[in-house]
Amino acid sequence: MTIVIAAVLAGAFAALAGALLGFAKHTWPTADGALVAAIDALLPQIQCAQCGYPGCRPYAIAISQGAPINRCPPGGEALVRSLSTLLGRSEHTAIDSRLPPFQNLLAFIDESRCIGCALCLPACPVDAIVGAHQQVHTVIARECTGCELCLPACPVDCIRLVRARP
Amino acid sequence: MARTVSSRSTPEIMRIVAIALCPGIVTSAWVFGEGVLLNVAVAACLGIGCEAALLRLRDQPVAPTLIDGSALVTSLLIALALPPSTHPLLIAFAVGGALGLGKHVYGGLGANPFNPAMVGYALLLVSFPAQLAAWPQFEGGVDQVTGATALETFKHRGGATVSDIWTAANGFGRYGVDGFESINAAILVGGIGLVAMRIIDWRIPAGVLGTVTLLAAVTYDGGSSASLGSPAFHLTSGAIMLCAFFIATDPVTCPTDARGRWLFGALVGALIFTLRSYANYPDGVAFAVLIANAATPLINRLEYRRVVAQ
Amino acid sequence: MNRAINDFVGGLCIEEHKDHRHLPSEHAPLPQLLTLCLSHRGSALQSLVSPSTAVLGGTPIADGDVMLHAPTSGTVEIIDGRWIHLRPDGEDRHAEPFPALDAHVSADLLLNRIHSCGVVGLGGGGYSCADKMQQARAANARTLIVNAVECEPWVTADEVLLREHTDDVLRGVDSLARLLDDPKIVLAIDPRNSAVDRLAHATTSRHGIELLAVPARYPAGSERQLTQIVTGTRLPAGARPLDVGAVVINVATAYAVHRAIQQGEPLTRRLISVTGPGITHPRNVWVPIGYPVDHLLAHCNGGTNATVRMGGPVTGASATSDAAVDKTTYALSIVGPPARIDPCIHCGQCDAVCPEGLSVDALHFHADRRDLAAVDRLHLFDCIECGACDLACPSAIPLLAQFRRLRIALAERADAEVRAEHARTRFERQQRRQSRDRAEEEQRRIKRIEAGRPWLAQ
Repeated sequence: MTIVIAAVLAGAFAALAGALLGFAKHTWPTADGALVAAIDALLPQIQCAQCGYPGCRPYAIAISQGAPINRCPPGGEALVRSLSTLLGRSEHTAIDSRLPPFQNLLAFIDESRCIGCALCLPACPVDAIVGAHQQVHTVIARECTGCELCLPACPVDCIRLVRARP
Repeated sequence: MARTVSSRSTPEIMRIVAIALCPGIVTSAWVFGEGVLLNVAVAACLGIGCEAALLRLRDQPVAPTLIDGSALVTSLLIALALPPSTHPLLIAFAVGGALGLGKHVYGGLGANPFNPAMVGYALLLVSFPAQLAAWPQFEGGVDQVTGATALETFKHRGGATVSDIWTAANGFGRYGVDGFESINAAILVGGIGLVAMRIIDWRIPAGVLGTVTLLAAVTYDGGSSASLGSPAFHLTSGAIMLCAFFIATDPVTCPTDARGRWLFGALVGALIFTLRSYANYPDGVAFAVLIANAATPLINRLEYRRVVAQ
Repeated sequence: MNRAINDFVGGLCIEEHKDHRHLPSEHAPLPQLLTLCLSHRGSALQSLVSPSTAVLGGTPIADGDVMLHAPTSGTVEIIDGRWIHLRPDGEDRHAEPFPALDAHVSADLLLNRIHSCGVVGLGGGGYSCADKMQQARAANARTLIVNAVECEPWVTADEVLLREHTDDVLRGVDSLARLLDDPKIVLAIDPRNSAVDRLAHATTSRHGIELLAVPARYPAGSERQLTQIVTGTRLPAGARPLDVGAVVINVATAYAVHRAIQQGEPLTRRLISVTGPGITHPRNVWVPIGYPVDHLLAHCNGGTNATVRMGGPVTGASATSDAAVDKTTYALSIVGPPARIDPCIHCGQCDAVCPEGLSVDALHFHADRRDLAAVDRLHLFDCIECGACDLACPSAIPLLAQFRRLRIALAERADAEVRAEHARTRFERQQRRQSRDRAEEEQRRIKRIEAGRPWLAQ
């Protein structure tokens, strides 16, 4: 009899605690936001979208909901390590081998070939390209993260990648 | 960089510490006979051999590390702490425990949190308490009888006053335990030499001896049946000087800055007095040092500060 | 000579190894090629000459934070936009010097001259002397400290310069003092310095220069420590001497100021010590700026670049294979074979000698584990890189080199963080703008439908 009472009490306590935890998780989404911010702080903010999400913050949100942590080539293995420490997830140790390695280069517009179409402007995630219709565009080297997203946007292939200044 | 200052290298420091132990070893041998020298010889050989073997096991270069002399110092301290003519197997047990469990499992010299010599000694003490109580007693100085040490006799004197036990039991000298008075004096000489050469920080022995003296003076009631012993008794008995100058001052396991060292010395002193007076073992040096070692990271942490004017 | 009443924290007594202090200075022969770097303290200099032109000694060849002049006559080439190579023609012809300025010209004229002669701090810092004095004027500095301490072992260039050109140095000091409003002038010097007698003699006939003997302890000549010795105020973390109303000028800088003002001569050469435990005959040599290190070593029968440090044996950084003497090179030190490194026994000597009171032992512990956050918390950036911990360490652990590497790593990490934060802000701003644009477009579409023109809503 005593055992039954103890088991019932223990079970009830466990259920109560579980319910409280579940309640807390759903009631205070700020905790979730804090997790996203913590993940976002680790991501390199190249905004290259190679992970399959439109930018670093969207990827951070996806990771917080369970997306794989090995899809950021600019972050490299160091990022995978720090993410697995942060999240306690150890299923990955290296970057997905299907993703091309990050080269850390800067975009450079060949001004003799640029036709001023302005198609690359919205492609740049950090507004690092300045220009207007019928005006030659250029890349602000200080702002460029080297995400390579402007390359496919250019219809005349006048953007190439150059080595960053040391 | 190449040394442009005439400071002493780490191996030199270890060698000087070993030399400073010599007066204590010689006096101990003079008091207790050649058994002490036997201890020292066995411990030194075992220590060097054991260090070499452990370095080989860890795939470390043996020769350069062996000559740093830290294993020798550890072995000598153990040899001095053990009763004369301790069985070589027991010495091997202590030395192996000291260098193996006390030092190399943590990554060798400099990485150990506890004083290796005291780890080895404490291991032996808790494993073979009876054998370690086998100190010779004095009766006319010639025929040595093995029995309870004077510190133990004093502690378990069962209601006798201090002067009673002094006259009733063997083994008491002018101030403290006979024989240990002169050994402690000799070790004090070596210790003062180390302080003068700035090999050890004077604050630690000052902290240890000061606290023991202070506590003994406060609690001493002139020798009643409940008396805990006079300051002079505490300062001349057991391994107090060895602890204050050679064991507690091990740089690896003591705090790194002045205030921390005062605190550490005081902690060791308070623990020695408390363990001697109330704990099961007659002398509490090993446990006092080990407990204080455990507090060292915390003391260091307290002292992570800057002196820079704010 | 007065003995300093104030002292600094920490420090240690070391052997000086300055037996060559009594030798007279020498002149190095002109090399085949001088290499002048087109950057100064990390900022680029603009070349003022076109390639393959012939220049005279003293011609300005680059400008920026500081001016750079051709040390001798010859042909210049610009390499990679980062170096100027000057091939001396061997005649060593010089351009007409500036006219000497007399005692009563305005401060602006003096500052202008100091700048246009390219004078920088020659004690190793390399900060523009004109800028420093300008700031000192703006801050109304009341103490001019002339740093003749030269506490680093083996280095005697300042001492020999001071002994051989005592009056010139003091004239330079006078010129600098004119830039300030009647400052207290303190010439701080080690009492063992061989120029003390000459100085004592020279300063008795002058008014207003106090000769101060500093404690014979390393690093008494470090700027922050010297300021404390002279003013009695310990500089808070990150503070400069100017924050307590003091400006510190090296004796070699004072000499260069004298040459600039009274001789009209730009800074194109300096006296450096070629010294260290790895060379048989340490000496002091006048060399033109840009002198290749390997040539100088060959001239002095020294070692190879691999064993040389640019600067003193304690604080100098390893030289690269194509290194050349620049304005901040006060010594070349040939070090002996490296000492055996023993494990750290946590003896606390490094903590005790650190003049900035850092927990060096803890710094080293975390540095070994490359814990950047921890070393930052332990104030790695307040390290003045004096190397006192290196000197004190019984296990010969190269602490200074380790801390320098960590500082670079920390700076890189901080830089990456700043860049990431910047990119994040810009990305989020763009996201907001795009969603706002989409919403507005939607609004306009709805309005067009409501206006009864649904055919325009496509």
